[in-house]
Amino acid sequence: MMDGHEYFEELIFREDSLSEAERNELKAHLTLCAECVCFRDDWIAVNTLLTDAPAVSPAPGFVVLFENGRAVPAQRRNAAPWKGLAIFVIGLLLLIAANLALIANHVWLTLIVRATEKLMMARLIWDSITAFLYMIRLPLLIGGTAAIIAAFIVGFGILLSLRQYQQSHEKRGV
Amino acid sequence: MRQTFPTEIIDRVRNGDSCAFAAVVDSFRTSVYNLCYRMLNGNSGDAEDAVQEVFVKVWRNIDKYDERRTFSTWVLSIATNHCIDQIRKRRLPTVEIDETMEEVIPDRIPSPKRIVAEREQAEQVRILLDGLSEVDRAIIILRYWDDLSDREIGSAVGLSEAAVKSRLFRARKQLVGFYRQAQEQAVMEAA
Ligand SMILES: [Zn+2]
Repeated sequence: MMDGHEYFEELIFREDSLSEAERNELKAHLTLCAECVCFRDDWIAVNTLLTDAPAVSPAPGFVVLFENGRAVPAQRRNAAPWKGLAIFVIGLLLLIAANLALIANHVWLTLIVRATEKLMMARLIWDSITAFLYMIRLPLLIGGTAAIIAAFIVGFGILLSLRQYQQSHEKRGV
Repeated sequence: MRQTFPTEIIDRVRNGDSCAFAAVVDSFRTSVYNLCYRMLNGNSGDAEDAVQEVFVKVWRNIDKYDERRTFSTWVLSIATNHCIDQIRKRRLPTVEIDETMEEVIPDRIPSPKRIVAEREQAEQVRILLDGLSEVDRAIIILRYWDDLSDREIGSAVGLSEAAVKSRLFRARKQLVGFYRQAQEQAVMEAA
């Protein structure tokens, strides 16, 4: 529905191309209607914004691509085509580096685990020997003492019989 | 007034001449990009994709071009319909204005103050256009940046001249409304 102002709003929109009669009609209305004056001011601001806004050009590196005389279907293109390749190569290098780091890490961890296992085994053997020796400490002491005494007795007996043998030879010789 | 595009170039494109097509691209690159950029919320990546697709369509459909129509209007109608389809498909979210505004090549080195003012203006334009429906937005862009007549706009968006007139009136009124809202918001934020 056209209200009273809409007719004049329409005139305001095409103010540059009004006839003399329309121009006078609008002028007369604007002297009476604050609403349309305000509308006209705002429209001028909007119109200025639109007419002043320059056409936006694509980025300097942007080209519409062709392949064998055919336009290539759209894909996101970078201003610098090498960017994608560079990102790919860097990504690949990072992946390789990460893998190498993981492998190195794995080797180190394996070595550490193995060394720890060996140490634990040695410790276990040592502990077993210690425990065994501790268990047999009394028989070991008695046996040892007995062995030493027996060795003394045997040794003394041997020396004694050697002396007797020597003495009997001396008598026979004399 | 728009110049008519040389018919011999169009004929060469019809015969598969890619050099002639490069001339078509070169002639309409900026107007197609500007249309796509402003239709697609000021997103330069989307605009570049759209431009590429629009020219693919131009190449593929060149045989359907009716010489009674202005060639530029035909190219812009492909671009307009492509953007409208894109918006309807994706229901584009609003995004911040990006760096592409710097691509408007200045005649001289602008002062920082001028850069700020230009960015603010560009943002205001984007906000105004984003408020409109996709068809109304296309009508405004074709009128303001491509200087098409009501009849040509109608031919580009598939509407009668009368419908374009009526929509143009409604869109302009809406733009005033959006402008007022933005002003009120700016005043409230400043307070
Ligand atoms: Zn009024």
